[in-house]
Amino acid sequence: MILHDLFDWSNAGVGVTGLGLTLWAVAQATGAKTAAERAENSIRRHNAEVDFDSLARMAKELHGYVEDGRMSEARLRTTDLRSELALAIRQHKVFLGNQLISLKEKQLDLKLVTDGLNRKSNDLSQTERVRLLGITGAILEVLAGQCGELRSEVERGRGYE
Amino acid sequence: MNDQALGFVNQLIEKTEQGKLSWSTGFEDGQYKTLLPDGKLAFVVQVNGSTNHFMMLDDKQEVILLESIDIDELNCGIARGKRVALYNAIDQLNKLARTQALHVNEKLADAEKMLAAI
Repeated sequence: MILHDLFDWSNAGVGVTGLGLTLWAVAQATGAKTAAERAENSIRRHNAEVDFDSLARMAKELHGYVEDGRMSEARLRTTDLRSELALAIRQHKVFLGNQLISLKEKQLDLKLVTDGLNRKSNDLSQTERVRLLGITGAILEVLAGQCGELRSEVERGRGYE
Repeated sequence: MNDQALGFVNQLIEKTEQGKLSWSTGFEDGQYKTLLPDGKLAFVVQVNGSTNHFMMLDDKQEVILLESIDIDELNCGIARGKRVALYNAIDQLNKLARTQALHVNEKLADAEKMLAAI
């Protein structure tokens, strides 16, 4: 009788230990998955920062060309910037937050500038030249701002949250 | 296509008059643009000399709808009915967009005050 009870208790003990070990293994696996997701998120945010840094540099070049009146270079740079910005928005949409609409507005500006310059890059009115300078300046400001925002999030470790 | 374009332009006129759309200047002279709040659609209206343009773009900036009508079409009688209506509607929308984008009413009110104060 005593032997039988002991056998029952030891069986129960083994069962509880097994359950505990399973729960521990599940917790470890969940933790590892979360850590992997955090690391992936951090890398993606860093990539977004690198891409927007490159876009901001392109926008600075474009603004410089417009300031210097180098319209053929400006036209080429506008086309590059337009396609690169479209790609960056598509790839990093999840990190752009409230700035997404502002970036889309700048994308539209670039489309209108590209069309306008392709039609008449050497025949701009004085108002159009001033407006172009304003547009490229605003694009630079938004892209540099977005890059700064992403950089500070990477530095604050937002990717690890 | 003209039917759809006319419908969109009339809707844009209505929403602009209700103050539900925000217009800003485009790149070229006489060009104004607006984005819907979620940025999924954009509209561009332009009166360039004798030609009126209307354009609708999707969120990838692809042109979905493009209409250009020159006044010569109207004068020669080539354009009729809805095309004439579209020309006039684009004209009206362009004026509304310009008024809002350049804050014309506010600036005129300021000018009146400034002149009265002299």
